[in-house]
Amino acid sequence: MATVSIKNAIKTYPGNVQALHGISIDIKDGELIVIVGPSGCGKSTMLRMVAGLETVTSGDIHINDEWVNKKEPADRDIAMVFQNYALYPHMSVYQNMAYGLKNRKIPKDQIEQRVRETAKILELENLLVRKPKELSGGQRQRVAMGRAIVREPKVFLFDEPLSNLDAKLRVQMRLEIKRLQERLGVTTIYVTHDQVEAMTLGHRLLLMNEGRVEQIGTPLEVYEKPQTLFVAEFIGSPSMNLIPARLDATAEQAILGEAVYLPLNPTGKSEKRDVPITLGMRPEHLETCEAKNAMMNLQVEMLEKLGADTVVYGKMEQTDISLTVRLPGIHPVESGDSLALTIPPEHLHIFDSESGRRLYDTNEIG
Amino acid sequence: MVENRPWLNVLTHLLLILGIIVVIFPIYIALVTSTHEAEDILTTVQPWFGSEMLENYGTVLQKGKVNASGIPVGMMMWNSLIMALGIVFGKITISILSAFAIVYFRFPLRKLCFWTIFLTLMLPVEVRILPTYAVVANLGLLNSYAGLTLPLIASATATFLFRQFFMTVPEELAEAARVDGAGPMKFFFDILLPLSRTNLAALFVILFIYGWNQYLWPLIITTDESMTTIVMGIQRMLYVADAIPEWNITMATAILAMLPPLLVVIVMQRQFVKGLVETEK
Repeated sequence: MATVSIKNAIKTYPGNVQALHGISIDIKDGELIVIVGPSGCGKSTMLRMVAGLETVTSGDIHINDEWVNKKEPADRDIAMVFQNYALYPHMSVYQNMAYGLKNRKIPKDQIEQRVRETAKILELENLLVRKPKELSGGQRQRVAMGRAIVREPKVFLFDEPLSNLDAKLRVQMRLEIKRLQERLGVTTIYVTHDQVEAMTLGHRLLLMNEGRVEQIGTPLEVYEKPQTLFVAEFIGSPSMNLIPARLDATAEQAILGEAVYLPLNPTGKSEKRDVPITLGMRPEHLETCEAKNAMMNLQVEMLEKLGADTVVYGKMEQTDISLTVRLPGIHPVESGDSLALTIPPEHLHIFDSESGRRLYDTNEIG
Repeated sequence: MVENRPWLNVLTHLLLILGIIVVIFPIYIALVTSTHEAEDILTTVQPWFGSEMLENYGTVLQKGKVNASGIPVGMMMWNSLIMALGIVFGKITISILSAFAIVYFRFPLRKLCFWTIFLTLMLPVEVRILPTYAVVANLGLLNSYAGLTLPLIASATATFLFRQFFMTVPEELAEAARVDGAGPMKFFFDILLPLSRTNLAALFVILFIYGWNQYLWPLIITTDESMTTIVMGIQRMLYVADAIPEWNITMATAILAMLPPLLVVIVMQRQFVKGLVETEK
């Protein structure tokens, strides 16, 4: 099918507003890449540049080793699904799906056959004569996908396709998109601001912030070894506790506030010693323990009992540091309690406070 | 507002009925007058229909008023119809295309173009009538349908209306069409035009009535009797030197002049209302 290669893509808008500061990624054939980041980070701009809806200020975009910077969207052999679906309101579902094929001068009988096949895949067979406004949100979403699939493009581009759906439907459509992509094996670029969507869908994630790449990696890589503070905070829910601390002279302990010492297990090669660091601890990696083994004690302030797990908010005793802890199951803790906590050293993340970059790898995968 | 007060109900209905009477009354008088002989209505207003209806309308349609130009009203109506339709289609075509250009294309001085068009709102026909006349006369368009319609075709109002409508059409629709391989004109004909359907209908009604009711411009631009439009015709029938005004004939012409706009409104009423209130996207 197709590979997509983006090299040092830069986008500058009139008035010298730089939206993208050089994005590079090589996307393999059949891969599903999720571009994820907060709103305004340039992820949609990136996608629209691949689609050909935005001009490329500098850099190169290749689809299947073909330089496409100056090509019209229709000539790039891509298909795009928009956030608000952008279905043609006056056309029936059938016409919506057939429109792109008709413009390519494909014979009528072939169009009919392809539309019917696609409709079958997406279970739209009974809706072909309906107009978009007679469809539910999920059905519209499926038609928008059908319009993309029926073209049999080299690359699928999804621009936050699920944001307009309610929570339950979103989960369902997410699975459907994943299944469909696996079945068709088409190279896909998927843009979202939702980290859960990104983690569940993507073969690899491209995390963006303020027009720069923060990290590229598989969902688990990104979760287990966030390379920057931004990634650490963005991925995971509730998000990672980030605590200002200090690395001691041997780089074997982190000092929190005055009295809390956490043993580290550094395996990386950084030469940094005795510097201010930001310590990252995922709420789900903090464990309760007996008081004598406690690394820290939490003064519980607030609780969210979700059934599947219990989210505890509080302050570390003797310090001013807020902490979120996610305990499995229903935990008999109440607000005002003191909770003894520990964390395995491999689950500590150490970031340089100045650069915001990961300092040491402390986790041992596998 | 829903209120349950009987006397308010009665009052509102009374007001509405009164309004209807005020509007209907002159039309009723015109209609009644047009069915009498000329002598019967010279001195008094007739309260009820006479017996000369067919004859009066027949005369009007075929011969017109003999001592005032003597052109059959049928021909005047034909002239008016061509003028009105020319204005409608001309205006709609020009304004929808210019709105399309202004909303969907980036070109130098785009803003200036829009504001120039917008400024012409301040210059209705009556204001620019002398220069326009000079231009039309120099082009040799006096006494022609082109002369009747062309100067009235440029329309800031319609351009503005279409511009506003196009701006409510989601941008993604244009982008989706681009990805689907539709060029600008294909997008215009396949997507934008069908979406503007109700707006087109509303404009058709408004502009048809506007064109049909043109009085001053045709009066100035035409000297040839065969180019007389019906609105001018009515006026001419009233002031005939050395003759008694034939009110029955004049009123019959007036009633006839009312019919086409009425027809247009009735036929396009539903689309018209939709176009004004609904934003179908």
